[in-house]
Amino acid sequence: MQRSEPGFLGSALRIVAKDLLVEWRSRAIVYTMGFFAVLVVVVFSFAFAREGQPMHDVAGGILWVVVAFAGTLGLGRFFERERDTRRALMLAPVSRAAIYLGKVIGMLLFIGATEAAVLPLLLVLYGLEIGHPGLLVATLALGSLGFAAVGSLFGAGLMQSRSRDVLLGLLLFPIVTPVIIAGAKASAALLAAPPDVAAALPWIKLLAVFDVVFVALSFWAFEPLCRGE
Amino acid sequence: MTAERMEGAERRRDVGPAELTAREISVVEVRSVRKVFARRPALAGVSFTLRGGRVTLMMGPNGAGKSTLLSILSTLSRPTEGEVLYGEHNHAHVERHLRGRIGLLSHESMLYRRMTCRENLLFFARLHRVPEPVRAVDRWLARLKLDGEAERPVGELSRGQVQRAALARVLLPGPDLLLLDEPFTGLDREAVELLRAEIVEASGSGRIVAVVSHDVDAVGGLCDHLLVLRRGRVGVEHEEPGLPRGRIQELYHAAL
Repeated sequence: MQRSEPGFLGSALRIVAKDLLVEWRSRAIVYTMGFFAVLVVVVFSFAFAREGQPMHDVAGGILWVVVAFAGTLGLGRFFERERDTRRALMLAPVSRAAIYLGKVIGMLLFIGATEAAVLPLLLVLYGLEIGHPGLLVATLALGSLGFAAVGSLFGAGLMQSRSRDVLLGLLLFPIVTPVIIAGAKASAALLAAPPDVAAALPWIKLLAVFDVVFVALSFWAFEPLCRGE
Repeated sequence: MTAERMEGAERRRDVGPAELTAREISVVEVRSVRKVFARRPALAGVSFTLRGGRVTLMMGPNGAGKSTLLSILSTLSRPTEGEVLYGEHNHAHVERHLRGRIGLLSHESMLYRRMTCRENLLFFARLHRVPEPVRAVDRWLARLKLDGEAERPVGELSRGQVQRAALARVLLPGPDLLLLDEPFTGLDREAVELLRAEIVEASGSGRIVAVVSHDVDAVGGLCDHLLVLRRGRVGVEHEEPGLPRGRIQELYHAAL
C-alpha cells in the first residue's frame, strides 16, 4: 500500500485539533491554569497595595509570574496525557518536527487563553489602561512562544520520568528566565501611565531574539530527545 | 568478490531508503544486538531473523529483554551495539522511512481515553494517510466487533474492548511489521479467537508478525518460530510450522 507523506502543517494541525478535543472533554488544563492565574492576580492585588490601592508598577511582573507558573502547571498536564500514546505518535509517518510544532501551538493556545482571562482582571484590579494594545499583544505573543517552545521540549523529554513535575521546573525556569524578565519589563513599560514605548522596545527585541534562537534549537533537539538520547 | 555478493552490492545501491516506504519489508535481521541501560545489559548480543509470512513467538522470564527487543525492532530505541537490517537497510539509515510501516501493540492501548473509539481510529488513520479513512475505520470497527462501542470514550470501555480498539489502531494502516507485546492479556475467549484470526490473516498476507506472550493456550498452533530469551540472550531458537502448545512449553522449560 503506497501512500503520500502527510503534509507537515496538516499533521501539526491534526495534533492541535486532537489536543483541543481532549481538552474540551476534560477541561482540566483550562481550569487548572485559569484558577491559578485568577488567584495570583487577586491575591497580589491585595498584597501589593499602597494606601489601599494596588501598585500599578507591579502589574507587568504579576502578568509574567502568571504565565510562568500557570504555564508550567499546564505543561505538566498537557504532556502527561501523551504518556501512553507517545509511541503511537512516534511510529506515525509524521515528521517529529510536525509533532513538536503541534504541541507548541497547543500550549500557546492554552497560555493565550489564560492571558486573555487574566489581562482584563489585571486592568480592572490595578486601574490600568492599555496605551499600545498592538505592542502589548506582541510582547505577550513573543514571550508565550518562547515559553511554549522551550516548555514543550522539556515536557516531551520528561514525559516518561517519574519526577517530571520537579524536573520540569528545575530545567525550564533557568532557561526561560530571560523571557520572564523581558516580558515583565516590556509589559510594565507598556502598562505605565503614560506608556513608555522607548523603554519597552529593547525588551521586545530581546524576546524576538530569544524566540529565534530557542525555537530553532528546540526543533533540532526534539527528535533525539524523543529517542531518549 | 563473488557474483552473488556483487549482485547484493548492486541491489543495495539500487534500492535507496527513499523507496523503502513503497517496498514491502519481508525480512528483518537482528545482528549481535546489545542494549545497555546504566551499565546493565538488557540485551547481551542477540541475533535472529524475522521473515514475512511467519509468526515469531518471543518468550522469556521477566527482565529477559523482550520489551527492549520490541522497542528496538520498532525503531523507538537504538541498540548500543550491533545492527538491525530492514530488508537490506541498516535501521539508522531508514528509521524515518520505516515510520508508518511498523505496528506496535503494547500493554498500553496508546489510545486517548477522552476520545471515542471512532475518534481515536480516525485520528491515527488520518495521521497515517489511510485512503478513505472514514470507511476504513468503519470497516475495522465492524471487523473487530466494535461497531456498538464506536461512539463511547475509550476510558469507558472494558479491557478487552480497549485491546480490540488498540488492535484496530495497529492494523488500520496495514503495517509490514507487526509487533505484539502480550496481546492476549485480559481478553475473553471470543476476543482471543478474533486476535488469533487477525494474526493468521496478517502472516498469511506476507507480513512479519512477532508476538511476545506467555499465554501458551492462546499462541499454541499459531507460531512457526520460537525465540526464548534468557538474561538478554537467545536461549533457544526453533522453527516448526504451527508449533503446538506442548512443544512450546517443552522448549521454553529446556531453555530455562
